[in-house]
Amino acid sequence: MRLRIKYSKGGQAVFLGHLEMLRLWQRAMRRAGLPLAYSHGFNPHPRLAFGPALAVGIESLAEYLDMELTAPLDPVEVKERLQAELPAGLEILLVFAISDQAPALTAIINTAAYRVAWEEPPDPKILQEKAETFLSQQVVRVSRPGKEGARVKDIRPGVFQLAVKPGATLEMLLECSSRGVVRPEEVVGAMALEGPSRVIRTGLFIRRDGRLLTPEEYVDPQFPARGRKCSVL
Amino acid sequence: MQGIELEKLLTRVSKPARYLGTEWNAIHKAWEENPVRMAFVYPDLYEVGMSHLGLAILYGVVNERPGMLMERAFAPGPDLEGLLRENHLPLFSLESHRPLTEFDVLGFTLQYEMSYTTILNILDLAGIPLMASERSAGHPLVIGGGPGVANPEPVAPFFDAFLLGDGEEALPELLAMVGSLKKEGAINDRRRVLKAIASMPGFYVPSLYEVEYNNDGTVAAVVPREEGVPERVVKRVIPDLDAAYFPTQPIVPFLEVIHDRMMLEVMRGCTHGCRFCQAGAIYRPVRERDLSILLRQAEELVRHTGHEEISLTSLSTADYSRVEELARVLAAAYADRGVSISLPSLRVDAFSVRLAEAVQRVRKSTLTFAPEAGSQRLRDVINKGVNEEDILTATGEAFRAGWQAIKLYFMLGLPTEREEDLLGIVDLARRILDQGRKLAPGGKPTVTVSVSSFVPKPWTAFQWEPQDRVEAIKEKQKLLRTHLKGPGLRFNWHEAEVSFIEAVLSRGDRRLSRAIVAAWRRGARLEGWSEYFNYSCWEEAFRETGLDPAFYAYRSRREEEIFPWDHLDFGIAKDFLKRERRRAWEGLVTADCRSGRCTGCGVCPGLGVDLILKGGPRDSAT
Repeated sequence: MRLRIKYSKGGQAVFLGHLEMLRLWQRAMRRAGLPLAYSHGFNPHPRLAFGPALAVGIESLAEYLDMELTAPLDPVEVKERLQAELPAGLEILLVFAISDQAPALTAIINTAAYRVAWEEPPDPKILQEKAETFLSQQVVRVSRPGKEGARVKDIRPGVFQLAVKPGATLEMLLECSSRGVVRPEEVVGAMALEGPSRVIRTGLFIRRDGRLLTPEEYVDPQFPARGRKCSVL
Repeated sequence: MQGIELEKLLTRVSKPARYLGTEWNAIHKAWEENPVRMAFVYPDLYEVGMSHLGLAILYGVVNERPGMLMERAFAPGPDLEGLLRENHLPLFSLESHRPLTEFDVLGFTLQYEMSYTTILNILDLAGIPLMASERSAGHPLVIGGGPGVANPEPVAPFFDAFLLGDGEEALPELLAMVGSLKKEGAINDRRRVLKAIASMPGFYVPSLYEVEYNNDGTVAAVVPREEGVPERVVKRVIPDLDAAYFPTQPIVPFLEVIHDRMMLEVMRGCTHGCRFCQAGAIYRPVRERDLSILLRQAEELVRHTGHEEISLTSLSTADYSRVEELARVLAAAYADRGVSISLPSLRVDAFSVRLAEAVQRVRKSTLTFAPEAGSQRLRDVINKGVNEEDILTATGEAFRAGWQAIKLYFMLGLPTEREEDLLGIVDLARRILDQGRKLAPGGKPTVTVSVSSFVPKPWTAFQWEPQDRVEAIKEKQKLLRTHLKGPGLRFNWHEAEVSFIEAVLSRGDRRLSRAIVAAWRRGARLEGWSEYFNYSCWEEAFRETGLDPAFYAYRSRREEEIFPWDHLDFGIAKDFLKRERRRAWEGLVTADCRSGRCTGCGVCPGLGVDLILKGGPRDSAT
């Protein structure tokens, strides 16, 4: 049986990297005594599949993880048993069954929403101007460090929305797919703003045909017609 | 120091998960309700410290008791150290993020000599005077334990007290005593506190002893400065491990640590009597745990940690009387729960390989053996008790079972070593490689030869011997390097300068503390990591303090010499070590005392203990 978990990550748990999260979930599942399906081979490990990786230091309201059980269990029970084994800062929001054929999270998720805030916020007017300037550009080049030196990349096509919200926070909808990822800090940097003190990933979405669906809305391989219009911000 | 401030620092350091303190099973006891507070300080990075079983044991044993708490602290990475210094912030404990100065007791574990400069760095980062003599009312008591207390003299001036031997009972006793002194309001009377500690069995308060030196620089005597301070401090022993506390709910680190697995301690001590081995001497006698207790502890460990691997730990796990049964039962019980069994130390014999074969599903990894010396003559000198047939049978068995990579540990610079002994290493490695090619056709066998440099250690038969000079060690490494070339052969070695400093410190006296301070002032810290070790710090430190490192490392000691650690008692009789030394020169092997013949090491009668063996059909398996 395949289960999809939606959880939030906050507090000190933001300092846990992707590998640490993988180990943490595997161990929590083993402690919870769930009938885990193991991979075959020399070093069997529970079959887990995560959504797009979250950079260290970023909070999230919507992370996803798929797991596989060898026996059917009530998702509500799985949620309770797993939550009891998780350290502070990680909260399971939802556990739901998905079909064996359901595509992997990384195959469907292509968009991420972020909220960015500053301890000493910039002037909202200036922020608004900077956002408008950013959106008016056709091309926004940023330098991305890589193994073979820095590479220049145009991030503008991957910035779907950018909006200033009360309290001088910035909300953005960015590409987050196997084809490309735009990081919120890159957008902030390209706007010539100070590094933010707080970055929250507020959602992960399947963006298709002008609509946005959350992974919990998108459970059937047949694309359902219940998606919202393309505006979450 | 709590909350947001730490979080701000953590966004700027690598591996922030080292410093969170909120790992699964971490214990956060209420500060106000537990008036006796200790921090266990591991003088190295988190990944090293969290691999240490001693920490898990003492953390559990103290936190289990009402009225006392233990938190953890580690050496910060260089990036966090820089931020702490820049922002004038003190080093903190992981659980409550409190400055180390707020604790009553700081307990350092002395696991290896190259951590000594890190101890100073931690004291400095905590804002605590380095010298015990400069600490006063309100400063934590700084205590030390672990194998380094076999000779703690080089670091003695930094410590208020040391605990010799097992800590499960002694440490709570100390904390209870600190608690009652606090209650009485006497804790700030440092002299009284230290004298009270000195009167407790197993505790050594170095400031209460005077060291007198001869004109030639050797120690003339170490004598108590006042009445009521024992002339000799005898190590503590838990006589029966079955009755001792064992942590079955250890902390599960977020980060991948060096030994990232559950630890099941099957026994303590080792009976082999290898003449170079300090651990084999100071952890005597052998005490095995009952099989049923181990199986119960394993079940609890799996349930409480969710780890994927259980390691059967001890100095020589294949010696545990019922190891076969234990390994098979565990492997069968946990196979479908994704938990594997590992054996950290294999004996060089076919039995060990079959054991590994039975429990380890992963055959692709390396199988490691430690013949220690390249010729039979030298193996007899060091009492390794292994012959060439044993080695080739073991490696043959390994190749047949599907292993392709064999790693062999050797020591270079052993007493009486000659060139033919080194060439024996080469010969052995090549024969094993040939064997692999024959037995594993189509495979690509590799033989890795890993050579460390011999460091003479206190409490061993070789404690009188000089270490090879750095130049000689380098020559020998070069000889091996030239001969160990070719497909399938790999060679790695230890930095000769590190071994030299280890040799200086391991048999050093109190005067060396000045050199340790001087090396630390020049930037020495985290020296167990080759990227941080800087030999020039030490060269300058010796020059500045006028101390001659050769006196400590290269000098051949007279048999009647009084050693800096002679007032400490680990139960081993010096006469036994002298006898073992003579037998070494004659190439005579001394039998393992498991076989029933007492070797007369003095531990059992001296400490009033006995070997605890759990019987079982060990030999029928071979």
